[in-house]
This record gives sequence, structure tokens and C-alpha cells, in this order.
Amino acid sequence: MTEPTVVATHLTLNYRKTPALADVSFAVGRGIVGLLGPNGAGKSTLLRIIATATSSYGGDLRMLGRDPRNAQDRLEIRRRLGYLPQEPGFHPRFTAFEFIDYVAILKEMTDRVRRHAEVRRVLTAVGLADQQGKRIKALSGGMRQRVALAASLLGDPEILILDEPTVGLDPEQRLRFRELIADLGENRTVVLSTHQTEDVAMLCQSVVVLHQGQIHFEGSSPQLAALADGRVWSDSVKDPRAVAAWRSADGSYRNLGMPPDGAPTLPPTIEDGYLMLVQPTAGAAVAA
Amino acid sequence: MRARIPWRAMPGPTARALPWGPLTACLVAGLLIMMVPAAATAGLGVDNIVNLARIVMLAGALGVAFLLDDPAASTTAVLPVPRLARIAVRGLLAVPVLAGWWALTLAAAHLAVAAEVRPAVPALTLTVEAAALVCVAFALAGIRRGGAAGTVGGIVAAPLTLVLVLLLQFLPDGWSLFVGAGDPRWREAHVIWSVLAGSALLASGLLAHEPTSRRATTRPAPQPVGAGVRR
Repeated sequence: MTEPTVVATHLTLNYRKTPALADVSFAVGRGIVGLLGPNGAGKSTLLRIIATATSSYGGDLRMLGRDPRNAQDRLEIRRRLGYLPQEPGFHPRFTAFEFIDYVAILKEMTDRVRRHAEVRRVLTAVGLADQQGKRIKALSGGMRQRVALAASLLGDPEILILDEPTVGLDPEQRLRFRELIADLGENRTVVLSTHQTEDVAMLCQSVVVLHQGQIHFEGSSPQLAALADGRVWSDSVKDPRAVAAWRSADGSYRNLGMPPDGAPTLPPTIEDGYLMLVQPTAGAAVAA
Repeated sequence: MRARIPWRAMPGPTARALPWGPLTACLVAGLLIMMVPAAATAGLGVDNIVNLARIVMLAGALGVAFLLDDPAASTTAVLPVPRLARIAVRGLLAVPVLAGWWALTLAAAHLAVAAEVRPAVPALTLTVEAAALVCVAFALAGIRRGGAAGTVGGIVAAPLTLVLVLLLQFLPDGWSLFVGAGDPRWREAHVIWSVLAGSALLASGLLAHEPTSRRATTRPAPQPVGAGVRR
């Protein structure tokens, strides 16, 4: 692994008395890190902390060697950070260009000519060069998502934090998004939170699974898939012992859990490994 | 190291981003409250005008309570230009509008009173009251919520402003700030209004600062990314 750019140690955060994050520690370097977890697992909370959007956490965080709770350090981090929140907001009467230009101004880009060139660059990167003059209220949900992504790319940030960026994108847009993120991940740290396990499998060099505010897995996509090695089997019926089972396209059932003796097992996917971690009854199977 | 604040580039887009709708609606409503009597009669007493002016300034303050509403706050939350600068630009952009509106209000008030009592209309001290209420509403609008850039918004700040004004209205006689024009406590009350305006501005500034932890933190050793299940 390259030199860590984000180092979290014993991060904790409570919403009133409910723990949103409990003793979360990890370190990531250059490359794309996938953050998986069910709704309410604490993914967005963790990303908000890393994005310096909140400083009311316990434990310690270093980003690019700096402490985000220190005002000077936080400023420097923000100059080198891009953040796409889970629910990005816009000024709907602005055009895409005007909005990105406004964000660029708030990113301290004072030189108008260079700023406009940078705005055009990021709009082109997300495939919105042709739509830059359209008002945001006239854009589709997927296009707005790309406007927000473009905003996060301003200034070529060293750390890019993307909270469920593919929500609202159609398959073609998702494919384009994957291309873009794969390129971006070559020379920076990208932390990508998503529910799309196939995005993680195709893009991420490492995966962190967060569940109930704690890290349950840290490793590579194949290692996550390997958690379900020998735990996936095909049958003509839904096996009641399976922790999860679904009818596949060929009509057979894909069962996940402890297979019966002699059952033909299937090669696991990253989704199988993930389900083994987060399904309430799957823990014992993983331990076994 | 300080943030490089693009003071010249910010006002244009910020002005377009301001929620002019609620502010304009409240300012127009307030102005009408004063203009309708002014059009109907030119014989109101000074106390009537003072009371009307207070209703108008409350309307203006309610509009100001929406001034920091920002639908793009989540997208712009962690950008380097500090929250204080963004809030200051928003407030400063509204100042000329509010000044013009208040000047029109005072002009209408002037027309609504009988000619012989016009010099007795306390325009300057009423302006202090109006400024204080507007500053209080602005400070309440800046109450932080949801991290780096979020505020409670006008939906919370406007009712808070209203409740505060009602509380001030029902203070016992010796404490009341809404005193009549001939009241012996007029001067004292307006000193308090001035202090309130200054305090509200100070509070706005403090609320605009992002919190920084002074807690000592230990520098951690980097944790290797080791593959495996953690239980």
C-alpha cells in the first residue's frame, strides 16, 4: 500500500445516545476504497467526518498528515479535498456552468479565466459539456448527480469522497462513471460509499464493510467474496437453512449459508461475501 | 495560513443564490402595513405610528430570518472559503435592500401623521429598534445545524424571532423595550436596543465560526490495511 492519506484511529460518534460509529480504525492510501454497508451502518457519518463536515467525533483522524479539528489543517485539507455528499443540493435557477463556477469561487479560485477553464474541464469530465448552459432545475436527477460530481472534481483534489454517487444514474451513466472513477483513482485516494457491490468489485482495490457503526471487514474484493467460499449452492428449491436465497434467471435457487452435505457449491461473488457479513444469521456461518 | 477569500467574485453569484422570495414578501407586507394607513389618513398620532413601525420591523425581521437558507449548503459545506465570509456576504448584500425598505417605511410613516407632530416621530430611535430586530433574526438564522455549513433555516429562525418579540412585548412595565414615544424610559430602552443589536451581530459572527476542537489528540500510528473479518 502507498503512504496512507487517511488514517482513522478509534473514531466514535454518537447521535444522542445511539452510537453511529464505534471505534472505527482504518488507513487508506492512493487508490479506490469501497465502503459497503446497509442503510444506517454509519457510512455517511464516516464520510462526513472524513470530508471535514463535522468535527464532533471522538478518536483521531489524520488526512494528508493533518488534523481536521485544527482550523489551519482543516483549511489545507479542504483545499485538497473533493466531496460529493449523499444528497447534494443546488441553486436550481443557476445553470450547470454557473453553479460549478460558484463552487469554484468558494474553492478560492480567484482568477476568472483559469476558473472558467477549470469549470469547463470538470463539466467535460462528467459528460455535461453540452448541457452546461441548462438551468439545474431543468436537468434530470442523473444529470444533477453529475453536476455535483463535477463540483467535487474542481481543483483536481488529492482525496475524493463520494457518497453513493451512482444513485439515480442509468446503466450507461454508471458505466461512464466507473470509467471516470477508475481514471481518478490512479493517482489519488478515492473513498467510495455505495450499495452497488458490482461497482465495488469492478473499481475498488480495497473494501471496508461497515455494519452497525463498526468495521466488520477490511480487505480486497476477492477476499470479501472469499468469505462466502463453500457457502453458496444451487438448488431447485429455496433452502430453509439458507440465510439468503433468491431465484436466479435459470429458475434455480441461489442459496447462501451453510450448505447441506453434498450440495454443489457455486463460486461466490462479492455480494455473497457481503451478505455473509451483514445478514443477522450469517455471522455463525462465517465463523464456522 | 488563511483562506483566500474572493471578495470580488462572491457577491454576484451569492446575490443570485439569496432566497429573495421570502424576504421580498415580508418586506412588501411590512411596507403595506405602513402605506395603507398613510394613504387613508394623514392624522395618526405618534404612538400609533410607533406601533405600526414595530409591526413593520417585525415583518422585515421575519424576512431576514430566511436570508441564510441555502439549498446548496450540503454541496458547498466543505469548501475552503469560510462560513463566516459566506454569511457576511449574504448579510451585506441584504443591507442596501433593507435600508431602502426602511427609508420607504419612514417616509410612509411621515405622511401618515399630522403635519404638526411630524417632528416628534422618533425616526432615528425606531431605526435602532428595527436594526436590532433584524440583527437578532439574522443571528437566529445562523444557528448551526448539521455540521459545517448547515443552518436551522428560516422555518425555525422566523418563529423564534416571533416568539422573542412576543416575549419582549409581554415584559413587565419596568423592563419593557417596546415603550411609548413619550415614555420616560424611552432613552434607556433604546440604549438596550443598541446593545441588543451589537450583541446579535457579535452572536452572528460567533455562530458563523466553525468549531475547532482544542482537545489534545495523540498522533496515531498508521494502521495497516489487513484483510479480514473483524468481530
